[in-house]
Amino acid sequence: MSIALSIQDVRVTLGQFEVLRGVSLDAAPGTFVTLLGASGSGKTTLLNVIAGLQHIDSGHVLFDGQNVESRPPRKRKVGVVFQSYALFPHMTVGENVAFPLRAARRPTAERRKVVQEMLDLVDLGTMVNRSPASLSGGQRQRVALARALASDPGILLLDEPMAALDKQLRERMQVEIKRIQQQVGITTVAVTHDQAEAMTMSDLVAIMHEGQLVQIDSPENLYRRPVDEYVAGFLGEANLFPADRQGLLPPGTGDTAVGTAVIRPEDLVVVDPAQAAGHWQVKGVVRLVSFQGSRFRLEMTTPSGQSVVCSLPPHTDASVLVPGAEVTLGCVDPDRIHVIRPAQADQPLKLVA
Amino acid sequence: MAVNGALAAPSAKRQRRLLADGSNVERRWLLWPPLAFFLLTVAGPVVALVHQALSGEDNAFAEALQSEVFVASVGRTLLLAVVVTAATVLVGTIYALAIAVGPVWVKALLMGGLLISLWTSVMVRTIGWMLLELPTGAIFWLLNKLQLRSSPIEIYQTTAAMYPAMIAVMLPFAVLPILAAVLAFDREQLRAATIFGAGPLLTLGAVVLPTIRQAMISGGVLVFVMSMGFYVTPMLLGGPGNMTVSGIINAQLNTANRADVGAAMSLLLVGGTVAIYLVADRLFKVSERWG
Repeated sequence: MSIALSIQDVRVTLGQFEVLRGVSLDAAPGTFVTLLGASGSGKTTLLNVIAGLQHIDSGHVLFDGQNVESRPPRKRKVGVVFQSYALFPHMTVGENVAFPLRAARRPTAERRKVVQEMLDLVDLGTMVNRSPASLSGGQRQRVALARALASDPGILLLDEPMAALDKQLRERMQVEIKRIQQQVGITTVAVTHDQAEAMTMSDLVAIMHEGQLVQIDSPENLYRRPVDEYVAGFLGEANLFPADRQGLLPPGTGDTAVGTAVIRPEDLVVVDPAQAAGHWQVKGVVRLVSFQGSRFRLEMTTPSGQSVVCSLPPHTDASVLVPGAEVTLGCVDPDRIHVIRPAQADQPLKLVA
Repeated sequence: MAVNGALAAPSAKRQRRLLADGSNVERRWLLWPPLAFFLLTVAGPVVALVHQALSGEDNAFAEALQSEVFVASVGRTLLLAVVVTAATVLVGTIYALAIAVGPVWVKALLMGGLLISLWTSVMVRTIGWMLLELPTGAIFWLLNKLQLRSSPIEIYQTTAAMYPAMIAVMLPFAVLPILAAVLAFDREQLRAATIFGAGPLLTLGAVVLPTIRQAMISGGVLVFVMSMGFYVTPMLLGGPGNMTVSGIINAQLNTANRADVGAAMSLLLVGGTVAIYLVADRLFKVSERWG
């Protein structure tokens, strides 16, 4: 069972502070949505709203088109993986996973069967009688996931699921969670502040900023076509240049700009200024070159002080690119440049790098 | 652990580590004050009691164990301690949970009451209960004002009169350890229980109580051990029919003038209490919780 989630203009005020300022979100059954944002952007609050742990001031939360605002958490059929996992320490792994079924007064035989199914699903089939304290962080998370899925909920909520794991395990669990989510086919909403995690796991990423959803889109579209400078800078590295309706403007002519062009580091190349004459280019001084395995990361500073980041293929001969050297960057494929909505006349154009 | 680590380290390093680390040879003299205190306040009196018990012509221990009054009082004291412990842990758990989840004014009221009770002398509190329970005391006065009763209440110096007072005296010793456990409880587990469909009863029984169970047992053992030595409260409120072991010992020393038997009874009481504590420790691992 998997439900369609619809959130309509939800507002939440905690004390004096408006935490959610009119949030709307729709997710088809089986979609994996990640709420991505800096801390304090309201993403955990939104998750609690879906779970029913947070009262809303106005707006609607619908599961399969049915209003659930007045439904208490225990009647919403949601499965939650808590940030600290919140496993019950005095119960075995099996008893933890069986807890939702025990609360629903299901017969013991059924509980045992479901527990085994769920633990097999998360690859912990042999750990039924272990205590949570004897498990590793990654295993505990799997137990928490098995427990969240045990009562066949309509929607799965993950609150910063990787926060307690180290980096390597994190990457493994991201893939693992995605596999389990697809296998079960359950609508899932996750909360994270880690953009790589959001992009790995999700069908849709919703960027939250100061209590509002800025953009909801597939990871690829968010990266390629951010709606504003905040999203562009939040998801991956971005170089922002002034642009007009035709495209990029030569550096130094920013006063006629009406929009902002987003150029990703991999769309920039080192060019010979003479050869590239007539094309868009930007001059600067190399500040830092670092080798990062799959690429060289070149950071340079333009005469106006803007910092520009460029990715170079790992086999590049970087010996001439020493800090202090002059370098000119050009754009590989001007068609790939995304221009953020032309700024309104009365709104000064922001240049963020 | 610290010692093993120090031994494994090279000698030059060991010297420095030993100085930096408080628990080593150079600092052992710090152990003397507590040891001296122990010898003076615990070992000394016990040795004196043994000496006293062996000072009579007859075997004072045999005499004590043959005394029907003593054996009866031991049974009575054990029963009293068990009942007081059970009731105190029950009330204490509810009290601690109320402090943890109640609104601020309830917290302040309950916590303040607990501390004031802890800071007030047992004697004063017992006399307070006496004033309440006297035939025409405060309880009678209140019932009379409410026109519920016109004849004096006959509870003073009965078993029923002493239990509420003893529970009140012991309450802080149960509430404080339980409260510490309740406050350390991870609230996210309550949210988890709610999310996974548990009602209040299942949450309490399957999630909260098992987590604070160890603290309830520690508090219970503490109350039990202290109740075994109860003296003032049962004597004043329970009357002569509810004489505890302590009361009998007092009678041996002051009325019967048999200091040797009194000392033997004291040692039997201490030994018995220690034995019960050791068994409880084996069963419930109480000392692990106390460090």
